[in-house]
Amino acid sequence: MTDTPFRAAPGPEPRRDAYDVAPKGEPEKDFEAIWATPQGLKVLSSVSHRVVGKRFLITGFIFFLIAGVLALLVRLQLIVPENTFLDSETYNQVFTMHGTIMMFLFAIPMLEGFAVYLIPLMIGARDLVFPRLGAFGYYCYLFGGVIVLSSFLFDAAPAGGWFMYVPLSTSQYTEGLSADFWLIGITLAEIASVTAAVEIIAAILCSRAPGMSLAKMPILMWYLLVTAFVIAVGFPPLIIGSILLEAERLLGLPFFDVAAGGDPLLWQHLFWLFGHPEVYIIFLPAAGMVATMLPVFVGKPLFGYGFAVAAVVTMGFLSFGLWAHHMFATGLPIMSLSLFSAASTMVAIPTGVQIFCFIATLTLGRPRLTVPMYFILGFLFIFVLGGLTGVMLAAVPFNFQAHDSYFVVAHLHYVLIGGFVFPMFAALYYWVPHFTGRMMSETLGKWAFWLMFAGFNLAFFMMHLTGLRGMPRRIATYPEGLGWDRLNMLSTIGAFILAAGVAVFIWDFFRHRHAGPEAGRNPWGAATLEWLYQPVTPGYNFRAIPEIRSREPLWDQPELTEGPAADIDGALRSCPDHRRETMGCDPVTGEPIQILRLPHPTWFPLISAFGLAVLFAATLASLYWLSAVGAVIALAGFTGWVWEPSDSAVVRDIGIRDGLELPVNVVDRRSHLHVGTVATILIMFALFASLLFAGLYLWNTQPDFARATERPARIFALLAFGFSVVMFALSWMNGRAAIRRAASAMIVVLNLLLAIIALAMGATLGLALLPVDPWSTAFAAVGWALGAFVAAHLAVVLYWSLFNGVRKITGAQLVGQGLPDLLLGAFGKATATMGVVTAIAFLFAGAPQ
Amino acid sequence: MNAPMLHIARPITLWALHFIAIYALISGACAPRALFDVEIMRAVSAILTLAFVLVTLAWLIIGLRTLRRLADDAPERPLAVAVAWIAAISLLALLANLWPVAFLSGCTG
Repeated sequence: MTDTPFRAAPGPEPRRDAYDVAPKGEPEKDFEAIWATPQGLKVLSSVSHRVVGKRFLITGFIFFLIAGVLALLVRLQLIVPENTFLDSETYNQVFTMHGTIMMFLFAIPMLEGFAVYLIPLMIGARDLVFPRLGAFGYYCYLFGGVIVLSSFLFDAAPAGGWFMYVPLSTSQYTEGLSADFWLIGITLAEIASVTAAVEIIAAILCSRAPGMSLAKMPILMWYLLVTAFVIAVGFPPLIIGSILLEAERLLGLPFFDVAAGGDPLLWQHLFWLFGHPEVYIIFLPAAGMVATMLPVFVGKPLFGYGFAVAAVVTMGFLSFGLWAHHMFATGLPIMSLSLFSAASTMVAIPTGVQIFCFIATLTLGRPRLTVPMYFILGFLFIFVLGGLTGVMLAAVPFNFQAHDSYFVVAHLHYVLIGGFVFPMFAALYYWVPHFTGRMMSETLGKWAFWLMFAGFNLAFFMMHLTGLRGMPRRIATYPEGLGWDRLNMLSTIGAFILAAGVAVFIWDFFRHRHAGPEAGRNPWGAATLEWLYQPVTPGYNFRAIPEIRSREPLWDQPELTEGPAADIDGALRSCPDHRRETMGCDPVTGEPIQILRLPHPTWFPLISAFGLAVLFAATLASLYWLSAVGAVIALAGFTGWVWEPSDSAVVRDIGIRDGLELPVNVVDRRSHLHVGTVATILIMFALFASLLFAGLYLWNTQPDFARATERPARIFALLAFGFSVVMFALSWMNGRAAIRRAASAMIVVLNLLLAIIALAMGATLGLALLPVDPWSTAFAAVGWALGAFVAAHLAVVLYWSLFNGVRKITGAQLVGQGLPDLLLGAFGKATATMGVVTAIAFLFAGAPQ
Repeated sequence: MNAPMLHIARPITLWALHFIAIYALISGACAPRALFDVEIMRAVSAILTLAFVLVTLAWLIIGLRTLRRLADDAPERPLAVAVAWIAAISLLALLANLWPVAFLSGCTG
């Protein structure tokens, strides 16, 4: 039974007339048909996590192959000294695109793919809680990736390195569109990452099977949960940095221009505030997949579940204290360097705890040496070596010596290929039977492993030596006789052996689709729920959602494995409303609190993402009228997306625990929508904090320019402060009215007042900024960026308030169906808080000129 | 969120706040604006660290006591282990934050 007493959620009174309907129900379809994937072209409207997850995985793998080919071109160029295979400009483009694609278009989307595909299956849900958001994220990623790749077609591929350092990437030193392709394409693709963060947080916290408390979650869920929080806080600095740099290129705003009090190091800070957590964003899910697979092949539960949770949580936090170790050679004060050096060394402790959990698990039994297990052992070997060179590089004196040498290239590939690519191949071999219903070849798999393992170590171990012999990174060629010739030759041979291993995997993948033996039920003897059904699992995941009493349900709950999976007792077997539904739980205890109604296939995610892609691409091409068209399409898509009758204020028997009745889409702070909104607000604040950091950084490092900046109009700043406080109060009242099921008329009035106050706040912030010339100094430009950021959020509040009001007036939202207002209240409070901070900043920043 | 999430997150969140505070203090003393003297920065850092260490130490002791009270097969035990270990790692990380301030003579080493 569960480890905490059941607490029923405060549900609404059952109502039997206007409410007791299931809008968008499909009474003509049976349960299987409701969950079926649309056929033909309509498959593009599918929002199923299984479809979207596989799209992420396939697209990510294609990008991996493209970036791999670019890596081979780099190695071919370096195979001999004085090589002329690639000219230096092409070489710069090739290594820049290799890094960019690997980091942004392969690694993160692959982890998103695994997360999107596996989370519902492992926690006992029928889909993610925001399926449309997942589909929207995928299309943004696809369109963003296409924009970045298309730069090759225009001979405008970015050539400034995957980190786009300024001033090299400013218009002064990079003319043309190459840097814009990077900034605009990657920013569009990053939307997928932040939407995935919201999706993962809300899904794991709010849709677990009955009884699955935090302590009973599969360990992978902890890794993904922490990763999602790291994404939510880690990506915003890069998004802000990219927007500032694009604004400098497009509008001439001097954020990084030294002559106007800007600072190129500001870009490095913003980039690496993202860049170092990024390594953990890539590594943690991979380690979580290892922690999931390892116990299966040892036949025992993971050693030290609690230790692993402690390790992943602390790694997630500590990863934010390491960013400046990428900037040791930039002239920061030694005391700052030492702080980051200490934090960089410190992160070895939780990493070590985690690795010891894996090693201890290995000692619990006699491991089966399957192909995934080979890759896991390869991961342990390679990643530990990469970790050790990481500790070396965390020491400032050694870092000064090894800086910008091939030693760093070797280290980062040991960490990233060891920490992500090897676990990813283990995961692919392990879960491919779940995708396709067939097993891949053990023999070919072992060939693939040994080729990849040997090739990798030959290629990259040598780079430690070339680095220690002084070979700098990113040089297009080198003179002979410096002691680098043979090492480079060996590295290139190793790279091609590694590529041969990948080719064997691809061959095996296509071969197994028709020749691989059928995977039976639970082919690896796993303990987690995704293997409950025989692959390929039906589209609904679980015919009835079982109660969970163990962290290893398939090992400890015989009732789950004794009979056909479709006959297992559980929640929501009946489907009276002919809607897609899954269970909603309390975020901590895992006790059921609501029924989640999920969307059916829809075109709106595709339309919205297409609109955004048009907006971004047209901006790149300086076709601003087309940008406006794209914005209108996106807005129409979002509006259609959220304009649908509310499902709340209905209760249903969920079919377990003697007729337990639960509300549909409960109006409660534990609702998945509220948790998702809170996660969104976390991202908003991370974006806002990045801008504040930029302002404070320039204020502190360029005091003369800060003093030379005109002060905003204080009277309007003061008014904006007052309006922000009023907005906070109104937002709070909106939320309270929603929870207390206030009369529609009253909430409509509150909506209108909120809209008016948002307008007033925007106007006063704008008037406060009027005396400030954004082109005068970088500090002034950041002030305008801060104002524009808050104004964008005010525009959302304005639109959302009016939208909610119209929905109530038209009867799309009835009394007691106040979820949209609860969410608007939370968003409004967050916006008002940012308004307060901005107004205070405007009151004190700059000086009268 | 209620107790388990809070207990898991609070020590390492405290570390994050401490890290930000030390970074801000170093920046305040060592950047061109030179907001205050290095010795002031050192004193404030020491006081802050002492306060943060005491709080984290208290959480560690509470965590270990909770752990001792739980049976080996108690369902809450895995997360109680996590809570205690997070407090222990956070404690070490707080001290790591302090050491440059404590041992370096000035901003430039």
